[in-house]
Parts: sequence; structure tokens; C-alpha cells
Amino acid sequence: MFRYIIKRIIFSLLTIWLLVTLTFLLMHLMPGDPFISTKAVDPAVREMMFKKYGLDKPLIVQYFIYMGKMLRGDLGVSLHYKGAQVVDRVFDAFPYSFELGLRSLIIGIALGLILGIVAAKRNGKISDGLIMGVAVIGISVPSFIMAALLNYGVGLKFGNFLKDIFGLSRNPIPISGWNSEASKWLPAIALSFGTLASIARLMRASTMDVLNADYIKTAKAKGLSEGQITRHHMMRNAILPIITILGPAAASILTGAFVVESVFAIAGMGKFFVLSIQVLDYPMIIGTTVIYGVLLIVMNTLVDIVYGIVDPRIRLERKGISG
Amino acid sequence: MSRKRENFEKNRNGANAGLNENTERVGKNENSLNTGSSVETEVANKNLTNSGFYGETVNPAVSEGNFPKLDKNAFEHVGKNIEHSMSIARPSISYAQDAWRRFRQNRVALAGLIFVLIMVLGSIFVPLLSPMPIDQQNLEYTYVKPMTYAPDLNHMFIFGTDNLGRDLWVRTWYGARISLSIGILAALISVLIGVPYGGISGYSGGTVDIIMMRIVEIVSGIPYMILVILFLVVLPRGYLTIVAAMSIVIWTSPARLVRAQVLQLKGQEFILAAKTLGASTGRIISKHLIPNSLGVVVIQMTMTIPSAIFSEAFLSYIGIGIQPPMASWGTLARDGVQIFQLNPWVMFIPATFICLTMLSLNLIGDALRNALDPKLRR
Repeated sequence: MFRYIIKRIIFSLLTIWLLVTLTFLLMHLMPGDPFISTKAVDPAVREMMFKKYGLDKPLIVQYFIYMGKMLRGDLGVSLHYKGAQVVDRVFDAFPYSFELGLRSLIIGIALGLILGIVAAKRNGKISDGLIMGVAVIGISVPSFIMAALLNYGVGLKFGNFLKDIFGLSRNPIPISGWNSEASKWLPAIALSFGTLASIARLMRASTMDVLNADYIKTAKAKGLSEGQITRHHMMRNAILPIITILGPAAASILTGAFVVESVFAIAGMGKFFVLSIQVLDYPMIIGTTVIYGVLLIVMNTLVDIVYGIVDPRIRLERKGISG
Repeated sequence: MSRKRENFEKNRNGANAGLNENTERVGKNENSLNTGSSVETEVANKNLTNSGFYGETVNPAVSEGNFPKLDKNAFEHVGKNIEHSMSIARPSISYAQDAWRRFRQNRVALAGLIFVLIMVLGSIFVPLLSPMPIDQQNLEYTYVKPMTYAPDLNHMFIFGTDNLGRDLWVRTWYGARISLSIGILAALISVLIGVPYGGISGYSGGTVDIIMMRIVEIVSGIPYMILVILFLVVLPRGYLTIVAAMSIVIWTSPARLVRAQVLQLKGQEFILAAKTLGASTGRIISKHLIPNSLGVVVIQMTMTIPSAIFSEAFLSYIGIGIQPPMASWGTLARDGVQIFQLNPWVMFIPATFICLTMLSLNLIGDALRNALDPKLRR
């Protein structure tokens, strides 16, 4: 067990190192240099500038300086927000994104599990077809379309409809911002759809696997109620594979947040990231990308470790495959 | 259990049933395996009580205990019809034919396939045949509604126009061309890299396998979208960069799948038999390992295409994918979302195209998985 965890952690560190190195190499593969657009620079001034930013040193020395900065958490200074540290800006925006992500993850997991179990138990009936239809649509509709549709259809049209019917002074469903409780649900739902759909599909398949297992028959024979069997026997066994999907789910929620936050005007990391792309704030883009990457790698490693703890078969199988 | 033994068991059961019903022909044994052949055997009913099909003796005590005595003159020996029993009733079909037969049964997936074919044909021919170029601006016709006729241009704007009066009908089909081709190309390249990689890794085993799989693990550890975004930010944006950036990450999943498949096949008896018969490594790989792993690869490809289309749309939507004047479904949706509340169709049309294509491809993928992978059949 201990060996397994150590191994996972070493792998994730290697992956993070690869990501950071790749970032460095890509930056230096770019043609031209930072002062190429500055008109008619005196060679002496140019040399001074290169010296100031450490660009006169050999690549390998620059690489070590860069790695040192990365280890200290120094991602450079934003070009767009003059003088602001990239790290500071990102962590200012982080709480919003974190709350949005957490909400949508909870919605996605809870609803996905329930729908998956219901579909498996009603296998072949209309409700099963309906749920799976919704799930297929859920994985087929990109988050940016879902966000725009919910924002326009539910937020604006349905909200105004409610306002007219109940004679309210304003739209009860806020379509932008992140301040009142009501404004937080619509973006979270828009973001959770993909996760919900993939969890529902996986849960249905894994519930079907255990549905006819001998221990379920035993439980029935013992006279347990349907609810007890579902909760204590079916779910506990069927839920295991769901853990594996949590890593990709976190990734899809993180990237989905780019557009959902933009559509709903939430000042989170995603909106910020898209904005930096639009104004070509390179240190900001690279810095945010590295932070996102590290975040996801850490998340995936955690998921792997948890899965290893919960299901000993994975631990052993991994050992068998990779020697 | 050997085939002979199986037949025998079936015949004996059949014979007993036949005795009960007092029919003449017993032991109809239909064996429809993947080859689709059916073997029919006729057995004489005389002397049933003490002789089985292959001369083995059925325990008379059991037969006599269970069934009433019958007059043996009621039966007549018909003999063996060798010709009939040797004939193969149904034509033998190939793996692909079998898969197609199973796939065809899924009506929804078939509809999806037809939709995708229409998309592919439309994306090829509509921009070719249309009189309106994709980037022609008609500034007196900005944001006209769908099905608007422009008399001075003698042109029908089937899907309306965008902010510069460009014809959305042509642009949407042109976008289909970009989006679909990126999806197919990314899937194809990742398979072309991943399949040999996984095959070599699995077939070699040992140290080579360990090193190759460590590399895969580390590469696939980097979040997919993050790496693609990184490439697109740093390198010149455009069609080829997107395809390259995607392929660099996606190839790891076919590599893993093929490796697992090869590892599993490598130890099986038919490979051992081929080796014993003196088949070369090249022959084993090309005649045994690759055909047997093909199903997994095809499934993987159909699953990769929608996710690549999705990624492209997403990247174009946040502005680092396809750059104007080129158009893809992602860029069209991006243009549309800015004026969504005033002119919803500008967003709605590309959005519908994306959703329906993704839906069709996902349905095709599911059906193909059921058709190609016998282990997943329920």
C-alpha cells in the first residue's frame, strides 16, 4: 500500500516536471525575441535588455533559473495588469471558481448516481430509455452551448415569464454575477451537465453488473427491503468504478468553467484565463496554464490513491502490469 | 468440452424429447456460431433405448423409468443423410459482415450514421457548389433572418447572415468541413501512432514494455486540454497546430488499449499453435494480432472523433482555435453568442449542428462497441 502511494506521487511529480519543462521549451521555441517589435533598438540597449531579463545566458542556465522561480511559486508579472504578480491574480479569482466547481461537482455526482441506479433498476422500461436519452444528450451538448441555452432560455425568458406571472419587481433568476444564492445555481447546473451524464451512464452499467449477483439474491432471500438492498448491497459495490471518472470529471469542470464563467459573468479563474488569451497576456496565460495543469495532476493522483485504497484489486493489477 | 461431446449431449437430450413426442426426426442440432454455419443431424429412432449417437449406451434404467413403453414397430429406420448433414445452410460471413449485421439492428445508430454521412457529403459539396463564397461580405444584408431572399444578389440566405452579411448556410457547411476533418484527422493520427506503439510494447514485453508504458503514463498524466491550450498559445494558431497538439496527447489511449489486447492475445493457444507451425513474428503480428485487435481500435477511433470535434469547437470558442477568415462550428457559435439575445439563430444553427453530430457519433460509437466487442454484449 505504502509503496503504491509513493509510486503514484513520484509519477505525478515527474508529470509536473514534464509539463513545466515543456512550457519552458515551447516558450523558447517561439521564433523571434521579446524585443523584436520594438523599433530600431540600439544594439547596446538591446544587449542591456537581454542582460536584465537573463536572456544572454545559455539555455540550460536559463532553464535552472526558471525552475527555481517555479519552485518558489514565482510565475512572473502580468503584462496586461501592469506590475501584478500572476500568482496573486490567480489566487484572487480562485475562490469563485472553487465554489462553482464544487457546487457543480456535487450536483453532477448526486443526480448522476440517482439517475444511473434508477435506470439500471428499470432496465428496458420507458424511464430507463428516457434517462439514458438525457444522458446521451448530456455528453453530446458542449458546455458552452449548454451555458448559453440556460442563460438565455431559463435565466432570461423563463425568469421574465415568472416575473410577469407573479408580478415581481425583477427577474427572480439572476443571469449574471456571483453574489446572491440564487445566482449561483444556474451556472453550476450548466457546468454539471457533462459530469452528470457520464456518471449516470457509468453508474447504470456498473449497477447492471451487480444487479444479478449472488449476494443480492442472498439479501433478497434474507428478507431485506428493496431500499436496504439498494443502499447497502448494490450501491456500495456499484459505486467503485465511479471514483475513476472523478479525475476526468474534475478536468471537464475546470475547462468548462472557462466558458460558463464568461457567459454568466463570474469573476473566476476561467473568465480571467479567457480574457488573458484575448489580450495576449503571455506570462498570465502560461502561468495560469501551469497552475491548472498542476491542480489537475494533483487531483488525478489523489483519485488514483483513493481508488487504490478502496479497491485492492487495482493496486495489485497495477503492480502486475508495470512490474 | 469438445465439439463432438457437445453434439452428443445435445443429441441425447433431443432423442429423449423425441421419444416423448413420438416424432420421427430427432436431434436437430443447430449450431449457429460466428461462422453462421448450421449443422443438422438426423438420428434414427430405432434402438434408442440402448444406443446413443456415438455408440455410447444410454442408461436403460433411466429411460425405462421415465418414459412409457412404445411399440418399436411404430418407428422406421431412415438412415443417415450424409449429404444433408454435411451441407452448410447459411453462407459463412466475415467479421466485418457480422459486425455490420449487428450494427444494423440498432435503428438509432443507423439514423446517426445516415446523419453523419449527410454531414460529410454536405461539407464536401455545399461550399463547392454554392454561388456565394464563404467570406463574401454583403453589408446591406447584415443579420437577415433565415430564408431571406436577396433580389439584387439573386440569392437565398437559407440560414440568414452574420454581422458582416456573410451567408451562414455556406459558412456552416464550410465549418462542418473544418470541424469534421479535424476530428477524423486527429483520431487517425493518434491511431497511427498509438497502435504500433502499443503493439510493440505489448509484444516485446519485459524492459522495453516497462519503459514504453512509463512514458505513456507520464504523457497521459498531463491534462489534455491544458497541453493543447499551451501549444496553441505558443505556436502559430491554425488548423495544423490544432491537429498536431491534439494528436500528441490522444495517442496514449489507443496505445494502452492495443497493448492490453496484444498482451492478452499473446498468451493464447492459437498464437502458440502458429508459432509451433513455424510462423514468423511478422506473420503472427499481421495475421493474428492486428486483426484481433482491430475491433478495439475501431471503437476507440469512433469515440475519439467526437471528443476531438468537441475540443476543436471549445478551443475555437474561447478564441485560440481556428482563426478568421476560416470558420468552424466553434467560431460560428462564438460569433453567435455575442448577439444571442437579439438574433438567436446565428448561435442556434451551428450549435444544433455540433450537438446533432456529437450525438450521432456517440450513438454510432456505442452501437459499434456492442457490435464489435463480444465481451460487452449483454
